[in-house]
This record gives sequence, C-alpha cells and structure tokens, in this order.
Amino acid sequence: MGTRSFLRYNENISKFLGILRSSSDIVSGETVAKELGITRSQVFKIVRKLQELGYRFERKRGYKLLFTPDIPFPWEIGQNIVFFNSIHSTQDEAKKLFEASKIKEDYWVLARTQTKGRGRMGRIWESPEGNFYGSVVLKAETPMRDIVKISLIGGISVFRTIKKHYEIDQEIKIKWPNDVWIILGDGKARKISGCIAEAFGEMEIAKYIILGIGVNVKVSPIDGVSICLKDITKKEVSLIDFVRKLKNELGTVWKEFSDGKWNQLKSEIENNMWRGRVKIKYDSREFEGISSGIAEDGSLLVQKDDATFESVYYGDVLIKVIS
Amino acid sequence: MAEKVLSPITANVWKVLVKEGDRVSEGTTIVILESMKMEIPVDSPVNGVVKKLYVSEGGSVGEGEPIADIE
Repeated sequence: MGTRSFLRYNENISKFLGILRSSSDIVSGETVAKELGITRSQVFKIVRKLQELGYRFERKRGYKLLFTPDIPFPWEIGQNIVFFNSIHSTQDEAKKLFEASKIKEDYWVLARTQTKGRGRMGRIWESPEGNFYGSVVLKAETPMRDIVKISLIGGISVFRTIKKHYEIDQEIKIKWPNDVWIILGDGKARKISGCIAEAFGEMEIAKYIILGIGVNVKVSPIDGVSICLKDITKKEVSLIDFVRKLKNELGTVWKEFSDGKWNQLKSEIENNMWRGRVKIKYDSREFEGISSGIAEDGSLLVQKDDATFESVYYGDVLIKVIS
Repeated sequence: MAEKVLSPITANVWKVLVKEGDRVSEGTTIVILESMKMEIPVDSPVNGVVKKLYVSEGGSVGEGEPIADIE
C-alpha cells in the first residue's frame, strides 16, 4: 500500500472471513468459491491479498484462518469505511474524499498511523500505530449556532464506549468541550482521547461536518500527559473491537442529537464533566474560576471568583493545579 | 454596494486568509473561526474586492458581528 492508496470494504473478503470464522475446521476452496459465487483462483487471490496484509492461514486442501492482525480494515468494521495504512491526517483526507465524491455521508476515514495528525488549531496529534484515528462525515443542515454543539458529540461517544464496554478502576471524565480524561488515584489527569471538528457550508447553515477522533487504545504517546486504554484496563485490548464499539456509540449519539435530544446529551456531559479550578486563556486575556457546567448553547460556564458566570466558547481551558 | 460578511457564531479568529484589497470569488475562504473546538471556514458570498476587514488573527468575533466588507 502506498501512502495515498486506501482500502475499501470488500463484500467477498468479508464473506470469506465470515465462512472461515464460523467453521472450526478447514474449509475447502471449492466450498468457499461456491458460497461466494466466484472461481477458486479468485478465492486464492483473496487469500494472497489477506496474507500480504498480515492475516495467516493454514492451507491444506483448503483454508483455515489462524491469525487476524488487529488492524481496523474496512471488512472488519463495516461497509462505510475507508482505510489508509499511513496518511497525513484522516481529517484532511476525509474532506478531500468527500469533496471529490469518493465517499458519502456517514463514511469513516481510518488510518493505522498519521504522519501529520492534527489536534485543535493545527496542533500535532501524536499518532503511533495501535491507536484509533478516524474522521467521519456527518450531514448537518443545521444553523451554525447549533453546529458547535456537534463538537461535543465525539467526546460523549468516546466516553460512553469506554465506560460501557471496558472495566476500569479510575474515574473517567469529559473535559469540555470534547476531550476524555482519566483521573488517576492521586488526582492527576491523563488524556485518553481528543477530537477536532470542522463545519463546512454557507454563511449561516452548515452542510456537513467532519468530526475527527483520536483515542489512545494501545499506546500512550506522551509520558505524564496521556494514557491508553490498555494501561487502564491492564488487559490486552482489541483495536478492531474498539473501533466497532466506538462507531456504534457515535451512531447512537448522533441519532439522539439529530432527534432533538440535545438537553439529555447536555445533562450527560454535565454529569460526567471534569469540574474544578481552571485558568481560561483567550484574546490575550486570562481569568480563573471553577468550571461548573454547560450552557444551553454548549459553551462552558465558568464561575469566577466574584461569583459571576462567564461563558467560554474557545481558547485554552487549563486545569489550575492547586499545590 | 458592499456585502457585509457577518460571523455566524461567537468565536476566536484562528486564521485570516485575505488582506484588504484582495480580489475574492464567491466561495473563497476569508477567515477560519474556531469555537468549541469546531473550526468553521467563512467564505465570501460574492465575487469582489475585500474593502474592509474587521477582524485579525487571534482576536475574537461575536455572533452577528462583521468580519469583512466585500465590494
């Protein structure tokens, strides 16, 4: 695979793996060919392709699947997946592919690694192999005023995925607007996930959103700052399994948002957000206060020391360490 | 008659991509705003010349406030 070439969902590969996985025994090439309605040499081509990608088979008078690499190839996840082995940024690529009509709404662009993964405002997102990097195209004919709320959807989705499906001892919190943090026993916070969102459209109505999510699944890229799922579950985690779960959770959250359940989602964030003393930095202005809730429009409510509240829409929200 | 480009949201002005006097087409991105981690490019609604810019990089803009005049 070259840097710019990508893999799409392939029905035959998906069915082939399905047949092998549902059988504990060797399946003959003839049986597979018959079930897929293709020739035996086409079956052989599929096997060769999968071997190149790291799958391993026992091949004696047929095929038996011995090993599946833990990489989110499209046929392991679902139909609306595009997969890159290595790419600059899933976010930039999703925009390009969507504008060139190569992918549609609800498609995910996934990558095994990113060479220029980005966080908010052009910052770098460290992207070693073993973690989740994906951007999804969401159709949203919504006023811009409401569109910023969509930025919070990625955070809730990651939060739900970890909370529902993984056993962890530590506290898990959403840090406004959409980071997910793990709170260690000593009260220190470590970042496990971050999101970036871009809205495209006309002046007041957004046409589509590209929501990018990065989750540290198997590797924690920055000591003392980040943490990964494997470290907190203290078990091996499957990236394929994580991607399937996150995709489902995001689908559910997106549906809730589209169905007008913003208030419930807002409460969910409020019930699970990191609260505490923060230092807000923007427009070369700084102030401190307590992050205390989410306003109706999705902004962060900070209670200042003079007991007044200020809504924060952007800028850096820094946790103030009280020592 | 100048076309006023207004900000759809309260945001930080992350990038200003044009200067006063620049010729722009309909769809040319003038600025990229950032609010709640959402990046929002604001495009010129018409063909014309950037007559006036009301914002600068790193500054802020409120909902309904002007970003630029295009003539």
